[in-house]
Amino acid sequence: MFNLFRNEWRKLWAKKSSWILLLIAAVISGLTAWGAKALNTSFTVGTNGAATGGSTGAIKAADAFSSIFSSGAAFVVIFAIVMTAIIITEEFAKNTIKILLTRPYSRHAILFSKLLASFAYLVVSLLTIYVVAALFTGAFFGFGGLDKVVGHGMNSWLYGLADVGVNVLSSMFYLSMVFVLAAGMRSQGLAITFSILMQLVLGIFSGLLDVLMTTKKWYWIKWNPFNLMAYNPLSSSQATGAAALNVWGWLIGLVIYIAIFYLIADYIFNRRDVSLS
Amino acid sequence: MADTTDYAASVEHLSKKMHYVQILKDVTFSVGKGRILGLLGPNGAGKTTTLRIMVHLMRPTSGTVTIMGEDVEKNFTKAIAHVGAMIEAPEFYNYLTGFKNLRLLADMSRKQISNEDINAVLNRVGLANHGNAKVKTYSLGMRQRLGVAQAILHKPEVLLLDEPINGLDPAGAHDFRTLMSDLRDQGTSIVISSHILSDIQSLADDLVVLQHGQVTYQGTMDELISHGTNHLTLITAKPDDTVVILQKLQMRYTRKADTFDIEVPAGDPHAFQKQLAEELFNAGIPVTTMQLKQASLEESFLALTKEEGEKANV
Repeated sequence: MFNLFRNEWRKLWAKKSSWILLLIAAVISGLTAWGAKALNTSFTVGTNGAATGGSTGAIKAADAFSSIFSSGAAFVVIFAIVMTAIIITEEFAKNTIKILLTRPYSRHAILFSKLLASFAYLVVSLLTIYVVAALFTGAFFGFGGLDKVVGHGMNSWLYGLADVGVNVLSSMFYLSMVFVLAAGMRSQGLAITFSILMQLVLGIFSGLLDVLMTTKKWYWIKWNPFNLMAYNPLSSSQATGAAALNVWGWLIGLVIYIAIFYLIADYIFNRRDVSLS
Repeated sequence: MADTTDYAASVEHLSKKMHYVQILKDVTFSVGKGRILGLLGPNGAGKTTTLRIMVHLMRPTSGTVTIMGEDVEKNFTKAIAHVGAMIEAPEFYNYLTGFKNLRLLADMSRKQISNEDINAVLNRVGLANHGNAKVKTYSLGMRQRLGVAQAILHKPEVLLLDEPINGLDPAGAHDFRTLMSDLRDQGTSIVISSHILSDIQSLADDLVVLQHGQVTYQGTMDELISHGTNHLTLITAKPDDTVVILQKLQMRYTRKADTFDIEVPAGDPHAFQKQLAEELFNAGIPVTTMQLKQASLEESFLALTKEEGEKANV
């Protein structure tokens, strides 16, 4: 299994697109940092007529770090979806699947190695953006204040890492759904388009279910996969009472849904004939 | 019937239906250990589908495939560990070099394959100087060579090659034949599918002919060639007297001046040649030329496919 994962990892990073997409996310983080600094400066000068500094500067660094990371992370999630769709469909589109499936490994093992590689790409990309966001924060706002508590008893550094963790789990859920789509498709373009559209549509669908849950008091709806995906244990604005989710419920629910989606993808991948090209 | 372990690979009662179309129907054949089996047939006969099922890229509707005694469906990883395959045009990761492609595949083998081993295989298929070039720069012939390289990389006991000579230049085709002969001599069992009959003729020990998804012939090369009509070219000093002898023997022939082109009846052509020579000698007809022209595989194949086509139309 390690050999299969290593092969997928090598192939992933041998593609220029993997690097370019990560670079784009880093550039977006940089632009966010630059924009935040530019807006902040003009606002401060406009209202107080004085340059920023002192204790308010420390608070701004923490906020800026969070914003810079979030902007880059949002793109990383989309790019990870794209790479996940590619990691399977490209093998079918370019017919390299033939040389892959005629080796002494089961299709289960081959698909699982691809899942691990796409999860690993997501984690590495988010951690890269975390470091990039920290560097841009330091460059534009200074590192002072990043060690102050910002929420849940964590300083900016830890809070950022927790944010990485939340993003990883929610995105793994997306990626497992992308696996279901990609396992049955041959066209890269179609798989990518469907996957990204799915991300947009699910947000709307989740909102609709939320309304249904509140109006009809069908609180079991809180366990629907879209609600779990939208839940963020770090956010203070969450549902309360019977509609509320806790961290463990969220975590276990996501793992169960990821497993279900993966098993569906695995079934499709295993039953699939590599038909004539 | 012999046990499947007696053969390197066995295909038994294989059928495949796709979208209500019967692609294969009750296909059965075996590949002897250390032998080359040619899988012949016109386009659309089901050769590639058969090979795809043999390596489990496709599932059969019914039937079994056994490789070195292991059922491909039930013990896929064990069975496929014995196989090197090139199915249809070989495709690789274009953004990687030829060497790196082979390295990836070597790491998926159950055997330890060093970088030196990879270089040796590249050298063997004539790509020693191109291993560090990206595959996207390769010509069709070079891809074909790399396809053969990835198939033999882990020294498999069974090689399944689909149209392996496609895209190879004459030198490449010659190198390929030499390589296959060497591998056979080393005990590798090989299945080569092709519609280029001359390629099969110079390599295969055994033949399986597929038509419309069914096996229409299975046997040795010599047996297939006997399906074709052999001809005898005869020139004598007394052509008019020769006509009398040929009519007496109820021969089918054509005559151009002093030259006769005689259809050799079914059976041993050399025995017929001897009998005719004796008849001419006894009649006092001096023979200037008597040359047996054996049917080529192509003629025999065409004769066979024509027979089967006529049967199908009845």
